[in-house]
Amino acid sequence: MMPNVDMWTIAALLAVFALLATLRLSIPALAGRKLGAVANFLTNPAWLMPLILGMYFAVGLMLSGEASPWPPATRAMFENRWGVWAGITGFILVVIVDLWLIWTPSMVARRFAGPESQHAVKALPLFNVLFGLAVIALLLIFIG
Amino acid sequence: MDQAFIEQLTKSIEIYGFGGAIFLTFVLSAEMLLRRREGKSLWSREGLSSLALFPLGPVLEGVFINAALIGGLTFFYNLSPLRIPVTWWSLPIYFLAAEFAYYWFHRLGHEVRLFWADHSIHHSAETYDFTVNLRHVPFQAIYRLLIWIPIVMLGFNPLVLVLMAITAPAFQTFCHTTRIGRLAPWFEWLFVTPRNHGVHHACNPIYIDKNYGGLLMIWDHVFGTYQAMRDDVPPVYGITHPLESNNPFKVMMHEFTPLFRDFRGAPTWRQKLGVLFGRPGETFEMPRPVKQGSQLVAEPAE
Repeated sequence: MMPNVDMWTIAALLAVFALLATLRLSIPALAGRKLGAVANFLTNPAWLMPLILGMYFAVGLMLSGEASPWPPATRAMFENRWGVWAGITGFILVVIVDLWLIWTPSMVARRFAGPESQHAVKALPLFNVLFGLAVIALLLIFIG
Repeated sequence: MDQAFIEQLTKSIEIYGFGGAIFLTFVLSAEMLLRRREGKSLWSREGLSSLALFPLGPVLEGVFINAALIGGLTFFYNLSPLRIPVTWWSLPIYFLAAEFAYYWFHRLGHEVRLFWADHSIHHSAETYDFTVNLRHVPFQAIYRLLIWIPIVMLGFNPLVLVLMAITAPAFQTFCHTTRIGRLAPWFEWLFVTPRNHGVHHACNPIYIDKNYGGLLMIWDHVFGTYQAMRDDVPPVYGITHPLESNNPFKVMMHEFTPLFRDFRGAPTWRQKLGVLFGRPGETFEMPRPVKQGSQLVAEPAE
């Protein structure tokens, strides 16, 4: 049975768009490639806007033990507190956060760096992976 | 609104701040790595000076936010009979209102000399990199409160408003860099980007007092303060009266000292008030001493 539609339903929908926009930025093969109108709409960077609120909150919740970097764990936590749609939102949000912690910023930097910075930003992906994995590992070990 | 509400607000800001700390750590670490790759030292002297000023954010600003901002907003919200509900359809309105508040609070910080003395601390860095994020200003909660009071009196819930408003500095964490080039024209027009926020940090005459937006540039378009970066005018970062020091205390007092001196020296009360509330550069000013070798001499009048 379809769960009741509420504010979390809209949040889940926005999270899907934000995930698609994140994937577009994260996959080098898609960088700068012309997409069709529908794909362009679905992956538009404007969908990332709610992440300014959502992503910082998600990481803050992870640090305070109210969410986990492991998406299924967050889904369960959110579903218990706020219902099915909240669980789905939490799951997608954590996938997005993990991507932004581990990979996406370095891809954004590599794609948009000015010519004089291209050499320097080549080192960013490895650094990004190490930083993100370290944060996630520390969260899982010390907070759970 | 009761104590529980204020506690909820404080906790929400704390949680958001924790998340922000992780991303701030990321950009600062990345800055160190990139500087290394560019053959520079890990931290510039200016960056270290900014680091020394960072506690002003979490400590002083935190105290002001908790005491003045939340308390003040709650007080005025309770005075108002108006209420704007918090639902899915009202959230975009809240967002635009928060952006509007950010725009005007930020504009006051630039265009009222008393507030500029505070806000110029953030702008005094002459290198536009991620360490500028650390260069906090101590008193901005005061003029932020001035702008937010009328908005909460219109019935905007302070909790949602404050949460929306703190997204602006969070987003700008990623904007203080010269390494990112021009983004898509529509994106540069609509959103704050490293390039158009770079305009905001530049002191070239064409760029001064432009691009006040927090996350969106729309209020700059509405009020005529938007300026795109021009390829033929490379930005000069910093302020018009250069700091020439990395001493954190001097950084903090750089505009306060002449403000106090001009206030004392102004011959009439009208001019004294002008010194406090007039536009920087357009008020009564005593000649500023400038360094020449080891001697301090008065700057020639323009």
